[in-house]
Amino acid sequence: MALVKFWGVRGSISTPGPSTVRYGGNTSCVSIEVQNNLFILDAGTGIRLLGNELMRKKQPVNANIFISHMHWDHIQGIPFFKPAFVKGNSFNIYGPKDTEKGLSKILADQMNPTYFPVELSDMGSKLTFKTLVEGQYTIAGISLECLYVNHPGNALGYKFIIDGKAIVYISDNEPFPSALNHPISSSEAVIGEDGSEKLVDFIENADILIHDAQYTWKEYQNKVTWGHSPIDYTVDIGARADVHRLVLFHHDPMHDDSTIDKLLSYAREKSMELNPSMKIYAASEGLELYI
Amino acid sequence: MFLPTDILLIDDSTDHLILSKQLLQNNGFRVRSVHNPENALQLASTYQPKLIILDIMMPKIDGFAILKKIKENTKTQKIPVIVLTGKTFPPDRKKAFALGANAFLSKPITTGSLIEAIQQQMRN
Repeated sequence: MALVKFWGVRGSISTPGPSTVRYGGNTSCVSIEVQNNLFILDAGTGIRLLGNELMRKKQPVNANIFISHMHWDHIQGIPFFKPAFVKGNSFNIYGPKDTEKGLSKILADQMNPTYFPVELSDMGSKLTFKTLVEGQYTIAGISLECLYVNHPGNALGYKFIIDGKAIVYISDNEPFPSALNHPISSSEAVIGEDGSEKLVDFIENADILIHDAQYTWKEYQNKVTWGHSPIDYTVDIGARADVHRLVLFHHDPMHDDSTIDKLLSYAREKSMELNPSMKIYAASEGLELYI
Repeated sequence: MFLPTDILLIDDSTDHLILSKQLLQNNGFRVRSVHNPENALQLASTYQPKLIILDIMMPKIDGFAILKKIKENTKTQKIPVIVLTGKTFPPDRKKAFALGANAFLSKPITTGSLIEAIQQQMRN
């Protein structure tokens, strides 16, 4: 059995305040507890809360942290992750390869004294940095598949296979044009495909799919190439891929609780036409899902 | 002594390479393909193509890293490079041009559009 718990569900920037209390204002962080292993997906501000919870347990922490990509809303919680400062704890930090800098340098740079009074090198725990590329791995005995997703820079989607069931985490992703019914209309031969079908294959039959659902369809019209998905696309691919549970993630900073309520209702209604058996959740801080 | 090469195709997808190579050869180009991108720089240096078509998102090796190496190597830096990718975000486009790409095109693309872009680069 595995427990998936949400600690930060917001995209772009944290959005505290009375209007975002129910779904939460922390940026991306999800944990998976399985077989005495702890996998942490992204280190947005939500990781601070996870860290506080781990400290309360007063036990050594050895965990694997998977960063989907290096945009700041996915790494900005690291300086506030208390267990990382405790000697005796250890963390493997995984992330996609960057052309210019290594993973440790990117994370250390955000804790440069110009921006933050404590440096990455001041952390007392053992930190090991490992680069991931698209492909298959086994980490702590758990099968992991990685896929590059459609987002500026190098961004990975992660699929954990646990007891034959898949938990897929795609925090930031924009539909390729062909997924939005914009195929090339031509009698000529066409070279190359844009990755749409590869993504559907990756998420097929997932027990849990956590996917970017930042925009309404109308909002997306002005945000094409911003790297995020309209909710319609998210529901559509979840339905097409026969996902069992879809979690709408990376809520837009402009969407307050009542807006997310409405978007969830919309998504569920849409899903009834496409795949009535798919359950849809809007990610919220504290949400727990078991497989 | 190697046969002249007009175009060197660098892509991790064997299916795309086969199709692209065939289509370009049908249009009169002499094409070599690289399906192991780790060898790309060496092969570009050896064959000295008139143009390179490079995919960016490849599982095991970053296409941007290959582009950078091609443009830093004195034997290959003058070869024009067309980036052909499914990712078309402005930051990726900007990065490609900053690393020395000569053109940035989106997949999927019609044969005609690709050939037009190739001919333009070869004229330049």
